Amino acid sequence: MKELLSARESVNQWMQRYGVRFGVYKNGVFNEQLFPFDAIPRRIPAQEWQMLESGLIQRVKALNAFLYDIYHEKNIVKDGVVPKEFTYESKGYMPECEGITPAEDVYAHIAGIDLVQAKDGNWLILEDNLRIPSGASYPMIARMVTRKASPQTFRDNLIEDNRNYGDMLREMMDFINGGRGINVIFTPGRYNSAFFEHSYLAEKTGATLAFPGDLVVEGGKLYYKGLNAKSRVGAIYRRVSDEYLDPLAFEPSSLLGIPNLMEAYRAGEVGVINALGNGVADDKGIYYFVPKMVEYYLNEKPILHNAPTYLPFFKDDFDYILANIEKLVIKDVAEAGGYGVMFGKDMSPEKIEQVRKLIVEDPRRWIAQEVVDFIDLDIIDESGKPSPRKCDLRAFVITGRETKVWKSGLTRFSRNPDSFVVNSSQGGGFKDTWVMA
Amino acid sequence: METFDYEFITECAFDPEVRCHSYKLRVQPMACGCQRPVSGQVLLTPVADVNQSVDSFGNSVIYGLIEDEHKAFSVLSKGRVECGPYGIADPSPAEYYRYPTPLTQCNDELRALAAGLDPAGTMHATHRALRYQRFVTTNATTAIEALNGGVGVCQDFAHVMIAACRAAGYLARYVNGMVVGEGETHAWVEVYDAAQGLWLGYDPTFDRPVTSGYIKLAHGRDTNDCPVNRGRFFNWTTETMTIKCKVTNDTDCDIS
Amino acid sequence: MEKVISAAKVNNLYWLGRYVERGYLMLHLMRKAYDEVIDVPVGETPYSEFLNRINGYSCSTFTSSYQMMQQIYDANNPTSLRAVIERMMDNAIVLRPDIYSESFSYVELCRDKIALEAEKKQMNIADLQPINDWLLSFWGSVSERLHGPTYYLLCIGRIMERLDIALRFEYKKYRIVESWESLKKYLQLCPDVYDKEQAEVIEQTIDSDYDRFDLIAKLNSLIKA
Repeated sequence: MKELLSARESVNQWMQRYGVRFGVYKNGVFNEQLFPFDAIPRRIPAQEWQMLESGLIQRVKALNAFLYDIYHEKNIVKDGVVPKEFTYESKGYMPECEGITPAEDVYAHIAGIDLVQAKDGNWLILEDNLRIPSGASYPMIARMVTRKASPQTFRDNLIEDNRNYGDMLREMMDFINGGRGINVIFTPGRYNSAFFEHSYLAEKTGATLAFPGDLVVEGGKLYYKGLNAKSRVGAIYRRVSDEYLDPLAFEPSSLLGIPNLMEAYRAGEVGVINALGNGVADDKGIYYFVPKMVEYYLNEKPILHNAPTYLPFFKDDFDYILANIEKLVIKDVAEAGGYGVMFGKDMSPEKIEQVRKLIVEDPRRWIAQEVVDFIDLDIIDESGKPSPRKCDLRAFVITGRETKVWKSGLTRFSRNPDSFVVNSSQGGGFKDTWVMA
Repeated sequence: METFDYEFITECAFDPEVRCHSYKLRVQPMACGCQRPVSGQVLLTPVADVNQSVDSFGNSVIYGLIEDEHKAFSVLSKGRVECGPYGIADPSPAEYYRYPTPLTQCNDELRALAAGLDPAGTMHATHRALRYQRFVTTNATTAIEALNGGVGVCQDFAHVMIAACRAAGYLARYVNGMVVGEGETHAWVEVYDAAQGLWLGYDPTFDRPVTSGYIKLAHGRDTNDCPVNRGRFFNWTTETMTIKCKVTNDTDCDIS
Repeated sequence: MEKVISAAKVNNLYWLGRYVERGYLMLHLMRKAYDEVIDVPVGETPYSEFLNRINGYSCSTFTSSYQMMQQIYDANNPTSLRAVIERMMDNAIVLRPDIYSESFSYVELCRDKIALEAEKKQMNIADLQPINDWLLSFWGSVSERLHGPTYYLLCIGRIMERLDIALRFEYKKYRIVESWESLKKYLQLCPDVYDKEQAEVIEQTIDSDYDRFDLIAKLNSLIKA
């Protein structure tokens, strides 16, 4: 461990050499910056990991069952477990996907589940990301680099290897593909904030990296256009969001999209990873109901719990929230990436009054959560000294033939010691996550 | 039962020519409760890759790709349909017709428009609130904007009525189609009548319930779900598009 | 299944090959100019002559090696070494899965190095030697790892650039003929990417008493990308 910390300089040089970057737009100008890496890993003991693993598998299985149900029979709504307002009014619900059954019934092939560990040691789920969760490439390459820079550390510690993420993805993609053609990773382009990840995952999975204009639908099938030939595509891991994915089905002004991809998908001629319409299940409002989904679909008790959450939509919660705004976090269900998050403790009395009004006007739009006092992990700060930061963990759960959890994850830390926001678009950096063997 | 012959023609001209043109059409009369296609054909020029599907709203879709360069794209859809009195039986209507879309967001004015009124009343109110005028609104004009402006075309009349009906708790949807005596495609509204288990038609542009002489092509939550013709192609070009249609009542001929 | 290559990718591979070679040859020729600048009177620098040749049009003159180095680092000047490395990166970054992170990293190293050097007050072309080394390492790395059209297209770009610069700097004719012969070998391996009639025309032009700039123009319209 000491050796690893003293090799910090060399680790950073290797990261730079491999172009481990994160794109950021500031005032309309695109800038690439290194995604700051802190060499002190998060360690998760084997036993604790087993619990996390089974909890995550359970949760993702329930979410996949929910997505299938919502776009088919809707039993969970009919049975009154999830109110219809929380499905049909959700921005992520897409009637255009009604009745479509994706390859092998899988909707969330790659789920990024965000957790925090409370001071009492309990892990709590903060958020499910079932659309295009990003970040796996960073710990993958960090592990490759730290093993180079400090081999002794990895002799001395028994750590599950995490460099197999590419193989896990490829295996899942091949399963969804079913031998119909090549696998592609579809990127919006090099000025996307996660372009490093798109290109690195393409390299590590052997999939073809496709750009807007490279893909075309003909005869109801998807093709990659070569100079003089076309190659059939069997599975597309798209890193373009639903609304821009097919200009003939959704946003017509989208220049990124693949015209008629939706038809090839509907006809079952191509597997789309992740499926369209998944936003209905990772909505901040639907989050509240995920433990209920576990009971409803799997008939099991949830292993992992949500952070204590209140929905102003329900009368009791509404009253509680209005009386306790000062100590709660209020989140806008329509926002993501750390935006639309308001801490009651930081608000002026006028602001609190304003938020109260917003909640009264449109209760469906908001959720409130208790502030979870989650643990700090040390980072080595700019002065070279250990300094505590809030950290979360994004676990990656892959579903192909079966549901598996990648034995690692992205541990993100906040930029400032006093900040609770760990989203990479809000500054901050990352750590490797060691799952101990 | 009445019989109608229909002819729908859309012509797109491109200057300069385009290539790699993907298209998606909803130009065939729907088979639904009160309407039965008897015969029909769709002809595309240039001859293209042609595929059929049915979208999640139940509309017939024709889509494909024209790879080579071309200066024009035309679609002819013609045939015969039998129609009964307008009303589409649906024992379990989709819930998503109850909620606003970006084009049919609601505000206090729209809520006030339908307050205390049944769908027919909302249709009258919509008709009074808007004046028919072309070239003021666009494809992207919302119900709120149309009502504020007080003018619009059939699409805007339909969006205003849909937004108002949904605010009043009704399931409402947007319909594209053709009407006897009209040379262009038309848009109207269907509102679900829970007591009868039927979707009933309302035409806020002409301020009349939809009865006979309406040939339905497609429906959805708003116009974005069911455009008759959408395309995407390569090249910087100017596109001019015309749509013409003709519906004639054949019932008398059949009797004689 | 045979991998097909998109038109955009053909273009990126070809230009990556060209820019890596351009960067290498620029450094080579600049070192010569830098050496000559020591001996000539102020105002008559071989470096401005170098720039004239590389661009085919007249550039401003430099009175000192310091000014010359500043010019090298100016990313806004499209003829600077720094701009060449930026273009190299533009093409390399979208090709990571095709050329692999290992080969890609040499372009990344060059880009970081020149950005770092540009910040320095003391400028000396000898400090850029690592860039020279990494550009050669790039070729070693791709020849070690890549096969088929991906590799051939990089080589086509490389030799094309070599021909272009050899013509601009009036290299001896046998050098042009040698490069052309080796370019033809790679072209035969990628029959889809070039204009065969144009290749015939170039063949005849090289045989004759050609005009350099006419031949450069002909070469530049050979590849379809």
